[in-house]
Amino acid sequence: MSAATESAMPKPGPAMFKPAIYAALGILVIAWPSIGNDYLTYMATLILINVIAVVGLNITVGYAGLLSLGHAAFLGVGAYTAALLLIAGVPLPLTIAAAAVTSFCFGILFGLPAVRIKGVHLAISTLALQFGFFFVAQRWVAVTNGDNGLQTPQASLFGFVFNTDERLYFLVLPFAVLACVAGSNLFKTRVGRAFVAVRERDYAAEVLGVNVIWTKLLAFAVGAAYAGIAGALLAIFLRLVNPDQFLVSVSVFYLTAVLVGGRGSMLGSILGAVFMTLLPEMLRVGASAIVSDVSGYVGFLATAREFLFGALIVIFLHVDPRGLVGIIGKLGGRIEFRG
Amino acid sequence: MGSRGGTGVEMTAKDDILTVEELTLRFGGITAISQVSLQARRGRITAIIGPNGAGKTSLLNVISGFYRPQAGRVRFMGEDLLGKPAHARARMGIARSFQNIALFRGLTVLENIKLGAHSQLKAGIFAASAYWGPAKREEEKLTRWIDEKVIDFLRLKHVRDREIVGLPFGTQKQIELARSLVTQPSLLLLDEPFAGMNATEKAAMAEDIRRTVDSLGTTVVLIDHDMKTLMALAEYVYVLNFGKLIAQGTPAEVQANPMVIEAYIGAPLEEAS
Ligand SMILES: Nc1ncnc2c1ncn2[C@@H]1O[C@H](COP(=O)(O)OP(=O)(O)O)[C@@H](O)[C@H]1O
Ligand SMILES: [Mg+2]
Repeated sequence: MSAATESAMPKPGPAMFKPAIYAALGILVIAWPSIGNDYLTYMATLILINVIAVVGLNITVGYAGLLSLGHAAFLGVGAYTAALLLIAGVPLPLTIAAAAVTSFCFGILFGLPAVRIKGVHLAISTLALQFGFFFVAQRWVAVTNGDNGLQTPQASLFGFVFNTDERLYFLVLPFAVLACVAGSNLFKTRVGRAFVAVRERDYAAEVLGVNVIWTKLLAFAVGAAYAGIAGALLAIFLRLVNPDQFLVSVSVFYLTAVLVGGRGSMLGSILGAVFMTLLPEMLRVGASAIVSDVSGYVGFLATAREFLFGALIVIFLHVDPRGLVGIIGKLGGRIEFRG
Repeated sequence: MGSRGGTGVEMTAKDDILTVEELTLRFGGITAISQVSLQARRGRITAIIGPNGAGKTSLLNVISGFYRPQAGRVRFMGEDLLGKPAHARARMGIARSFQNIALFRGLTVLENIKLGAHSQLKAGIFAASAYWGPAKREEEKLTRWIDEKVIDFLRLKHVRDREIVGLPFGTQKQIELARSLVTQPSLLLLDEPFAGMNATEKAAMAEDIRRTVDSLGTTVVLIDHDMKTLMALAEYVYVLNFGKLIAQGTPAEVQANPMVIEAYIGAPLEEAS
């Protein structure tokens, strides 16, 4: 009764810290295009798309504990679905919904190995999905146009054409917000709790009535659906879809974002997406501070980036397995566990 | 086999909420359970005791649906249980705790307890994502129910919103009990609820189990190898040794049984192993 009313006992530390962060982020995010230039708006849109993808992967990997190296393939499925439908003249909302549904179905299909295997073995089986996707995208030329990829027509809604960086930003923004809200809502209910329970002790979850097999498939498929939406928005945003956008390295990129941001945390997903999207840029800016002409070092930078991803995973797993969220928590609220 | 010998009271089959008949379970060459028959009477505390490796946990695992026996039957409220998947048995009214505490890290105490009600909640993926309407209402209703009935009942108010990690052992055991009581199960299986506890904690746990039975009418089947605690708590005792049922009866009868004393290496009132 009285114990239920949270308001009676204001929780110190991160509990108050989090809403403040979200509020500040909200204001910044809405005002962003008027503050920044086209480049900054472009980068912000990319971050938002990645937020959607990272929230999805965090549900699969962080919350449900199913290691996946195939996330880029789910983005790819969404991107190709959206591109093909837009080319066919299907309305924008239907296109994005279809991308989500298609990726969800692929998620169920490729989540099947997760029913029996865990950890590294599962990760390897998701690699098969990754390579299978690349093979089909590259070879099924009649549909995908092979290596050249598909040109996506300009998206429009009720005659309103998304033809500027700012407009695209505001197309993507609501999806990113919804992804975060829906993602965190999940964990207020039985669905999200079941994900965590299956991650921690599947046998105990089973005894409590959790259908472990279905829960694992669902965690995979929901993560894939988020990726599908991110992929569709990417197709609309970049106006181009080709196999090279969805390589294993892209899956590793998203996995790094989850680990760096914070497993099993929505705030962590956001931080991870921001950090990882900006990382290559920071690297480029950093390099141009050292050498005047970066163009000769493109290959080197790409390699350096991959190396940095790996190093970041190792560092974060050792320094704080909760990622940036954990580090911020440590800095901001040591009183977290004081009842 | 509706009646149990030795009690002097005739019991009919319909009083038995759980019936295990001629159960045999093998792991390769090991026979963990050998032709065991037993019953749990409605609203009573039935104990299964025996030394380590006797097959007690295996028996609970068969009832929970983790192990598939080679022979025998298990019926719960007249229904065959062995054909049901493990996750379906919670909804039928069976709850359980584990020998090694099986709480979920990354969730608060309240969230852990809420998981006990998983099979009674309905929210699907869309309702949960929107957290609106029925999905929100059922969640709030459950929170109220747990706060009013379970948290107070088991004195967990002070840890309600804490993470599981770092909580005292005894508290974790209580949380596990709370989680298994949320749905007011008809049958509660407790695997060594007193293991690793000091005398004070044991007494508190015994009291909690007693109160559960008295106020909820729950049927309890509990496992232990500490006879002393059980003697005051259980109404009927089965003794397993090397997978075989070697004795059964009231606590006093079992305590005096020479075979039981022998199985416990001549220390009838002490903890074995
Ligand atoms: N999953 C399993 N695989 C193989 N052997 C097992 C398994 N579970 C239990 N056993 C064996 O069955 C016997 C009974 O074990 P258990 O039921 O845990 O005993 P208790 O709970 O009475 O201490 C032991 O010999 C144990 O090694
Ligand atoms: Mg045992």
